[in-house]
Amino acid sequence: MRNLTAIARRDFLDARRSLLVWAVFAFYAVIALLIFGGPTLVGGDVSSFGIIGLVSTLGLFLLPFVALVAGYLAIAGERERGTVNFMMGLPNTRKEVVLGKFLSRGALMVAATLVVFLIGATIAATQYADPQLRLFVPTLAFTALLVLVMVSVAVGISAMTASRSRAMAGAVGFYFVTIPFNLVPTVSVPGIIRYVTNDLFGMSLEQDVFNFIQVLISPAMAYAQGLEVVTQRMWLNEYATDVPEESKQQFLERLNDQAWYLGPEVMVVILLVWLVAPLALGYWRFKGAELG
Amino acid sequence: MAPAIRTNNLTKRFGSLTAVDGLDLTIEEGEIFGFLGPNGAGKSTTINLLLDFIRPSDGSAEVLGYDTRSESIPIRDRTGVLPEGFSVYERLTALEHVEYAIETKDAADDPRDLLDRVHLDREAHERKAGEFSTGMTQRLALAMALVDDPDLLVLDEPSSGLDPTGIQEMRDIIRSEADSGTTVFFSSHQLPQVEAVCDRVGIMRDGSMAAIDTIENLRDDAGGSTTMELEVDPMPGPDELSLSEFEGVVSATGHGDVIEVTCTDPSVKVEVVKRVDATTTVTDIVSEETDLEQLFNQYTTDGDHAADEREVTA
Repeated sequence: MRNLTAIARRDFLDARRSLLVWAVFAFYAVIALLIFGGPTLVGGDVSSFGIIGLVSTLGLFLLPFVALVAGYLAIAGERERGTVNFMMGLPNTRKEVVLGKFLSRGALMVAATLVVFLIGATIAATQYADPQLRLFVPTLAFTALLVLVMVSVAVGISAMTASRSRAMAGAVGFYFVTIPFNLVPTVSVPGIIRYVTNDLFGMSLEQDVFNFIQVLISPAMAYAQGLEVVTQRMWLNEYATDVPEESKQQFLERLNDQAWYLGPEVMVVILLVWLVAPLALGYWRFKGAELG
Repeated sequence: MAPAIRTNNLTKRFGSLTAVDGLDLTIEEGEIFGFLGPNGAGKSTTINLLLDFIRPSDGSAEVLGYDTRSESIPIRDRTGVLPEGFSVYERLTALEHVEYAIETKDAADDPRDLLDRVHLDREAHERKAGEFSTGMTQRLALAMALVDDPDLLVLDEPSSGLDPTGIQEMRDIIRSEADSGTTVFFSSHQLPQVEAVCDRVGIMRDGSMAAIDTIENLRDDAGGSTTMELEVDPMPGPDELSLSEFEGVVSATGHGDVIEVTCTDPSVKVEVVKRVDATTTVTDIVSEETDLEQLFNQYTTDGDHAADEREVTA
């Protein structure tokens, strides 16, 4: 797997000199400053719990978009431009190409995410009335996992397509179907399934089932669901000292009332499947692809 | 010893188009083989099949004794490739390109030595390849192909974008590689590139080999004809000479004050000159062997032998 690192290092070097990548980093940093630093300017008691709720909502829309942009040309772009002929003229396997690309783009996005969290944690520790720093741990873990998953999706799509335009169509399609459209019951996949099962066939499947379909088809939704439950539990157990015991218990009960398959552990499993499946599918298609 | 390249009924179809049609080709070790043919004849498709960029519809191929489908990595480990229609990584320097190839092949080369060998200026080593001219890009690609002293060099149209000096330098490199035992397989649609360095040439046409031999033998097969140009004053009228009556004269045409005569039998030349001189005054005579350009055209245009088209106007 020596070639894997050679591909990844070369790709990383290439990306590092790309204006687009620096634009993404700058954009990330600005967003981080706004989210974490903005509320302290308004004043009042700022706590990390409220801010992190905002991070997961924003992350749901923003992170997948940025990660798709960072990865959708990884292989399709090389095929369209012709640099793939160099890469494949050298003794690289197609598996190494797919994995190497994932490594470099993934490392890039995780690095950007770390920068965001470093900014966030620093602001929280120094400026917030109640820093609640431990909340950053699961948030960073989930966010890094989501970023890697979305890079896997992007590289997978890129490996399946031979041109920039098709890769873009695939990435845009994935984004809209799994995130914005997934939230609108009339056009979402779970909404359509619900219409068929419950309205047409009169089955009375409970809402949790459709919520599960919603997170199953969308890594970003699985991320939001998992992160929400974990941080809310942590906050209730460790930080919510000013909340009356009774409402705390109600809150916890509501969290525990969800079907087991909507629990954070299941969300992690869904995310792990999404981490592997797109790369495997992309490799399988790329393995049989005709180059040049 | 296994041949450097051996194809066995190698066939590649793209939909209804057959790009390579039952190709049987054997290239011996240490040979410089010129792979000729017009654009679209199937040369690049053949090369892409050998490198496992694309997969055969039928038949198989072996390179350096390895199967192209199941053992592509050992093939590409020992082969230097200058691919067709490549482009460079715009944001990487020349040096970084070569270093990448060295790292991938686990070679011990000094990247600067290789860039010097292909005559890429020192000043360009640290420059980003996106700023390079076509010729410089071609040199850089050759430097990458030379990494790890390959046993086989596969060069697809290596001289495109090179100026005459560059072409000469490319030839020198090809020769010196061959002298050190490397098999060279290179394609071109331009004859002079091939004529100057190749031990053997194959002419591809419509997906199969129209001819394959040494250049001398091909010349003989094509009729071993000679072309003679006679400068005359005045130009005789049409049909006045009837040069085609001579056995061995393939064609005779007149344009301006020059009569061009092509003959398969060199001994008839004297008779031709005598008859022309009897009618008019010959002021100059130029005689040359059939150049390969004509030979190439004979094999790649319709009608295998242009000699069939007897055209007599003078």
